[in-house]
Amino acid sequence: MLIGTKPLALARYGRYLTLAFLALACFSFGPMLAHAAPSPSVVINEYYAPVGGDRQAQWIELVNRSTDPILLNGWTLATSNQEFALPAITLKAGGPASNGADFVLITFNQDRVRAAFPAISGTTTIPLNLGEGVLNPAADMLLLRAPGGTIADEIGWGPVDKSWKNAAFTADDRRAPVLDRDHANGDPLLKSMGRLPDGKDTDSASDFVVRDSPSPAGKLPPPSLDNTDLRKRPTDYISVVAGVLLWIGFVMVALIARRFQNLSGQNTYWQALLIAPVGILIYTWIQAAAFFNHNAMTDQEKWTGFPILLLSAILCIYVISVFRRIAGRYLEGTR
Amino acid sequence: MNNLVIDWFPIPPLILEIGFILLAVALFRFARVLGELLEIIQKPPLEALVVVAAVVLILTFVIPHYIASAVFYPNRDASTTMWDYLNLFRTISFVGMLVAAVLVAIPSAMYLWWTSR
Repeated sequence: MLIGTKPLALARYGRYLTLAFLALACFSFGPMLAHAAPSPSVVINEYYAPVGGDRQAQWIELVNRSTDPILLNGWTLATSNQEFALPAITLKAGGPASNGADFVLITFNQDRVRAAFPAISGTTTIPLNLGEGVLNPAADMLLLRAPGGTIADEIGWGPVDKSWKNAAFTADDRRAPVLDRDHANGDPLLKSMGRLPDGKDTDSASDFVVRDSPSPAGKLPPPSLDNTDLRKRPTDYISVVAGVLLWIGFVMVALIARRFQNLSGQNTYWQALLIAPVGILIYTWIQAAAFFNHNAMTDQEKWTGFPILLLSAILCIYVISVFRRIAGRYLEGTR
Repeated sequence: MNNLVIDWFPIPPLILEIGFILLAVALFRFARVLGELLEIIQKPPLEALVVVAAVVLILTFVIPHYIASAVFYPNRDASTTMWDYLNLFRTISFVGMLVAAVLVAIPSAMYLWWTSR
């Protein structure tokens, strides 16, 4: 009897338990669902609205995190009190981790932004042509909505004003610090807030950090001259000379082993000592070609050059150890 | 600059660092052999330069290259300062490699010269 009552009780009360669980789930997760959309593909990546800065130069950067192209038709971007429909442009595929990440820049005064950030030339922009930015640097919010009104992303800063039209859509854990003036001299900071790394999204304001150098559309201003033109090129040459000299150093080990073989009559495998460091030369050659052709090594070049050098180093250790053992044994015998 | 992103295991640069550490170990072993060979021909213990070369390779190439790959490279979009540090550490690395290479070549060349006469 006892065995039979359990399933009976479950069957009787099961539907009530299910209903209670669903009610609890809605109560617990409902407010969260209001703020977070399932894994947004397009996110607000960076914005520029420093306190005391040029309001005409304000901008907002979006990035496509997904590996699929995204059509922005039907998407909207809202601030605390305004909402703007985004045009039907397509953000090409490419996650932010790759170099193919596709950024789009929303500007309020296109000419002013271009003048302030010349590096953005040639990038995709959405000019709202309002003359001046509508973002309040002291307190505001950005709300990105996907078609159908789903909130794709949200970030805010400063204290929330209940009178804002969109105040209900901002969450406490999505409030980033205000880009306030420099407390020492009162000058505007002229910095931006952005995700680091690009596209990082954990649904928290901590994804955003103060960027010392704003990078609209993923474009950093060129680094200072003294660290590029004056240092870069000599270092490229030094890297080639250093690599070749290091290889010559290991070749000399082979020549020493050959001479020892001639003098002692012991086989030192000097040919292996000559071949082992070839990886240093290959690595140097790949690296030099990369530096002089496109300034830095690509991932493919690194994955080719670095393992070859590693293999060469392992071989060098082995053959030098063999030479050391042979020489050591012979020298012990002659003493 | 707050919230630095640190990539503790930067791959593939870590492969290069391990490769150069192993090259330094190879130099330590070569220094032992060279020391004995120089002793036989009764010449100064120049093998110490090879030991110094191995230490220089680790201190001025491996460590700066690792710091650049783990700290400055992942944060390069955050600030031009990161690019400046990247370039600086890049220069330190290759100058260090050049010094190490010269330090290896000198005693080896001297031994070959002494034994050729």
